[in-house]
Amino acid sequence: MNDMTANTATPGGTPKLSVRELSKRFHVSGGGLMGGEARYVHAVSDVNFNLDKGTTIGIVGESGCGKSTTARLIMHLINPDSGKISLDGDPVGADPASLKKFRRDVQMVFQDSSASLNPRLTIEQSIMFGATIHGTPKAEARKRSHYLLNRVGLDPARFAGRYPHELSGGQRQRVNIARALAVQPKVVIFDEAVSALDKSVEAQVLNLLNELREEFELSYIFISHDLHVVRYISDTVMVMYLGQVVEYGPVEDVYNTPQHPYTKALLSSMLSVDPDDRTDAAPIQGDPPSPLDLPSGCCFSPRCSHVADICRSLSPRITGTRTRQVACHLVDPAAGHPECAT
Amino acid sequence: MLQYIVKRLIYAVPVALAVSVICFSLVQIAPGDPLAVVLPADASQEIIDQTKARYGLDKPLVTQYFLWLGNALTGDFGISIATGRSVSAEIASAIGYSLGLAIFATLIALVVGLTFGLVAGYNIGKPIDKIASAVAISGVSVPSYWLGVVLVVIFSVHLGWLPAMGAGINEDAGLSERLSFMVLPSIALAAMPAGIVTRSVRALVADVLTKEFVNALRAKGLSEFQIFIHVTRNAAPTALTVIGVQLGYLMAGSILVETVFSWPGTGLLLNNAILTRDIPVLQGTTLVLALVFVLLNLVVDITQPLLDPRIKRT
Amino acid sequence: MTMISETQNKVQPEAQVHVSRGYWQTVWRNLRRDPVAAVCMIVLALIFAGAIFAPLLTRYDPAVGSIVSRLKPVGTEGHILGTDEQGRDMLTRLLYGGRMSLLMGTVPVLLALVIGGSLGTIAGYFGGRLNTVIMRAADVLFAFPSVLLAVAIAGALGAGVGNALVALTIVLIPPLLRVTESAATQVRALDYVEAAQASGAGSLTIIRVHVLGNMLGPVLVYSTSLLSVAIIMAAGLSFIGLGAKPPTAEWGLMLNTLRTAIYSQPLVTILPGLFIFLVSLSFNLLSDGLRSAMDVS
Repeated sequence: MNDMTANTATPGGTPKLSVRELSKRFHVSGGGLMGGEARYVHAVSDVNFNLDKGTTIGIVGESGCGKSTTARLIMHLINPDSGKISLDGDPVGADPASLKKFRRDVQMVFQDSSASLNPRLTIEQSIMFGATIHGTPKAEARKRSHYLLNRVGLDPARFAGRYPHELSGGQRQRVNIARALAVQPKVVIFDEAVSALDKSVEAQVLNLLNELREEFELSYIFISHDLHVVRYISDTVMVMYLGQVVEYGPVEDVYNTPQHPYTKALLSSMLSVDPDDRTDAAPIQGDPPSPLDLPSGCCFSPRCSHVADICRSLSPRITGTRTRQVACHLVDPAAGHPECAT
Repeated sequence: MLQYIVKRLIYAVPVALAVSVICFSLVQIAPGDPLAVVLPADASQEIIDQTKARYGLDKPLVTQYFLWLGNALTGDFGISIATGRSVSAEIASAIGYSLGLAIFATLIALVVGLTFGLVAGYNIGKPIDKIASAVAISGVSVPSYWLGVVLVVIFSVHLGWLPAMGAGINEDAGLSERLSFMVLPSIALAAMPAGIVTRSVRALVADVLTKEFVNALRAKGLSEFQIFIHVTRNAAPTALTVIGVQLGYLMAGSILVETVFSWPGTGLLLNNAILTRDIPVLQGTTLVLALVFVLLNLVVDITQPLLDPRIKRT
Repeated sequence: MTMISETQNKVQPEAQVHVSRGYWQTVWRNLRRDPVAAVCMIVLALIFAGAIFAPLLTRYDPAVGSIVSRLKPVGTEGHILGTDEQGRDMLTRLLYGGRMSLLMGTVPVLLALVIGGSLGTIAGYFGGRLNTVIMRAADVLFAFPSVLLAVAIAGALGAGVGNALVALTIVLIPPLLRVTESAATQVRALDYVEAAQASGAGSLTIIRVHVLGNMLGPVLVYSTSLLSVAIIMAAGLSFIGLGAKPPTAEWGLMLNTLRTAIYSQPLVTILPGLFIFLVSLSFNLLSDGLRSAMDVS
C-alpha cells in the first residue's frame, strides 16, 4: 500500500466520497403564527468536493464559517436542504438502510473529547458500542476494542475498564479515534479533533492519524481553524467563508499561491518562522458580517482590500479546473457575467 | 417587554380553557347518575326526560360543555345539592376566608423564610446554617394537617393561649379576637412555603456571595452592612417569585388545614362537598381556585422581569 | 510516544484488565458515608420493614379493639403506644397503617415515573413538534395546584384507595414529565449521543444505552423528594375522607378519627402524623444527600 501520493485521483475512477451542491439554511425567526418575515441563516451553501481513497481534505475557515455544519450534514446528523452525497458511487440518504451502512463507513471524531464519551460507560464499552450496533458479536467487539486501544497507544489492561473522567484529554481523544475505527470505516471526519489538545500531544495524535490512515487505507475530512495542522495532514484544502467555498485545491498550491483575497488574508495571519513564506496580503479588516444579514454580491466584499464595484453587486461563482478552484471576480472575470468583466 | 406581556396573556387563555374542560369533566368521571339526587327513585321516564332537558343533559357533551362554560362565565355554577343555595353564593361567602388565611400565611412564610434564608446563606457550613437548614427541610416535610393538630395540642390544649377551631365570626368579636383564630391555621399553612423560601434564598445568597462583584464592593471599602443590603436586594425578586407562586398553592392547598381548624373557607366547602357528594360545589370551587392559581402565576410571570432586570423574557 | 507493533498486539487475558469503580458504586459509597443520609436510610428501612412484617411484630388484630381499654395513654402495659378511640392497639395500627400509607405514597410515584418518565424522555429526545404537544398537555395539568387537583379528582371519583391512587398518579405525572424532559433534552445535545447516531444506532438503542443512564441522576433525586410529597398527599386524602376507609389502618385516617381524643390523649393523637412526618422528612433528606453524593466528576 505504498502507492499513496498527494493526488491519487485517477481520471475516470469513482472518487470514494462525492459531495454535490450541499446546502442548508436554518430558520431563525418569523414566518410562523406570530407573522413577520421569515428569516434564515444560510449555514452552508453549494458545497462540492471529492475525496479520494487514502487522501485527506482539510476544511479551514474562521469559526462560524460552516465547517462543522458541513461535517454534520455529510453525516446526516442534520438533514440537508439539498445536495447529493455518494460513497463509492452509492447515493446516501434515500432509505434508512443506506444511511445505516453509510454511518458505518463514515465516522466522526469531535472536538470535545470529554463530551463525546458517555461518562457512564467504560472505555471498552464505548469503543464496542458502534460495532455491536452493526451486529458484531460482543466477544469479537471486545477483542477488537483491545486491539484498537493498543493501536492508538493505550494499554488495554490499564485503560479498557476505566471511565472517561479518569483519562487526560489526549488519552480521551485517542479513545475517540479507536471508537471511530471500531466499525471499520472508510472515511473519518475530524471536527476540530486536535484543537483542544496541548501542542505536544497534538503532534503525537497527528502522527498517529497519519499512521492509521496508511494502515487502514482511510480517507479523512479534517476540519480545523489551525492552518498549520491542516497543511501538515491534508492533501487537498477547501477554504470556507460564511458557508461558501471560496477556494479549493491541492494544499501546497493553495498555501504557496493563494488566489482568493480571503485565503491570502487568512494565510498572512498565520505566524511563520520563514520570512520567504510570508504573503504580502493585507490582514483581514473587521469581523465577518452577521450570517443573518449577508452583504449583497460577494460576501467577502465588505472586508476585502481589493474590492471592486462588481463585487458589491454580484456574487461570484466558483470556477476553475477540477482540482483548483476559486470564487473571485478579480481572479476569474468569468465568475460573474462576462460583460461585467473589468 | 410589552410583547412578552401580550404573549403571556394570550398564552393564559388556552390554559384557562383547558382548566375549564378538566373541571367540566369532573362531573363526567363522577360515578352515578347526576339526576339521582334531584329525582325521586320511582320517577317516570317522562319526568326523567323532562328533567334531563331542563338541565341540558339531553344534548351532546360538547354542547353541554359550552352551555356550562357560558353559565360559569356569568358566575352561574349551578345549585348546591346539599344546601340548595347557588354555588357562586357558597364560594363567595367562603373565598374571603381562604384568601385572608393564605395572605396571612404568606406574610409569615416571607418573613420567616427571608430571615432564615439570609442567616443560613451568610453562614454556609456553620452550625447556625445547619440549624436553619434543618428547620427549613422540616418545614417542607411536615404535613400541614398534622402540624395543625400538634399546634392545637400545644397552644390550645396545654397552654390554652389560642382558640382551637372556627373563625370567631360572632358579631361582637373584636379584631384581636378574630386575629387570634387565624394564628394557628396560618402557621400550619406557612410551614411549607417558609421552608421553600428559606432554601431558595439560602442558595441564592450563597451564590451571590461567591460572585466577583461582592469582592469588588468589599475592595471599594463598603461596610458589611452595605453589602448585606446589596445581597438582600439581589435575593428579594427570587423570594417574591417563590412566594407569589406559593400564595396560589396556599389558596388551593388549604383544604386540609381548613378541615383541621373548621375554618369556613373554600377548603372546608370542598371538604363538605366531598362528604355529601355535592358535585356542583366541587366543580365550581375547583374551577374558581384553579383560575385564581392561573391568574397568580400570570402575575408572577409578568412582574418577575420588572422586578429583576437580569431576567430577559421574549 | 510508545507505538506498539503488530506482533505485540496479542490481547492480555481478561483477568488482568483494570476495572475502575463505576459511577453508581461511587455514589452509593458517598451516600453511605453521609451520616444524615445513612440515618435516613436506616429509619426508612425500619419503617418499611415494620410495615411489611407487621403480623410478625404484634399479636393484636389492627381492626379489633376492646371497649374497656379505649384511649389508654402511651406506656400502658400491653399497649406500649396506647390505644385508640376504639380500644385498638396503637403500635399494631401504626405498623399496619404503614402498609397502606407507604403503598399509597410510593405506588403513584412509581406509576407516574413510568408514564411521565416515558413521555418526558420521548419529548426530550425527539424534540420538535412532538415535544410541544406533550409539554403543552402537561402545562394544563400544571395549571392546577397539585393538592387541589388530587382532591378534585378523588372527590369526583369518590372515596377508595384505588381512586386515590388514580388521582395521585395523575397529579404526579406532570412534574416528573418536566424533569425527565429537561434531563433528556440536556443529554440529547451532548456529543456522545451525536457520536452514537453517527455510528448508525437506532433511537431506541441510543435512549437505552446513552440517554437513560445519564438522566437517571437528576430524575432519581427528584423522585425521592416527590416520594415525600406523595406520602403527605396520600395520607391527606385519607385524612379528609378520600382514600382509605374505616376500619382500615392508615396514618392519615387514624389522625382524623383520633382528633376527637385531642383533649384526653394528645400524645396518642399525634402519633400517626409523626410517622408521616418521619417518612416524608427522611425522603427529603435522602434526596438532598443523593444530590450531593452525585456531585462527583
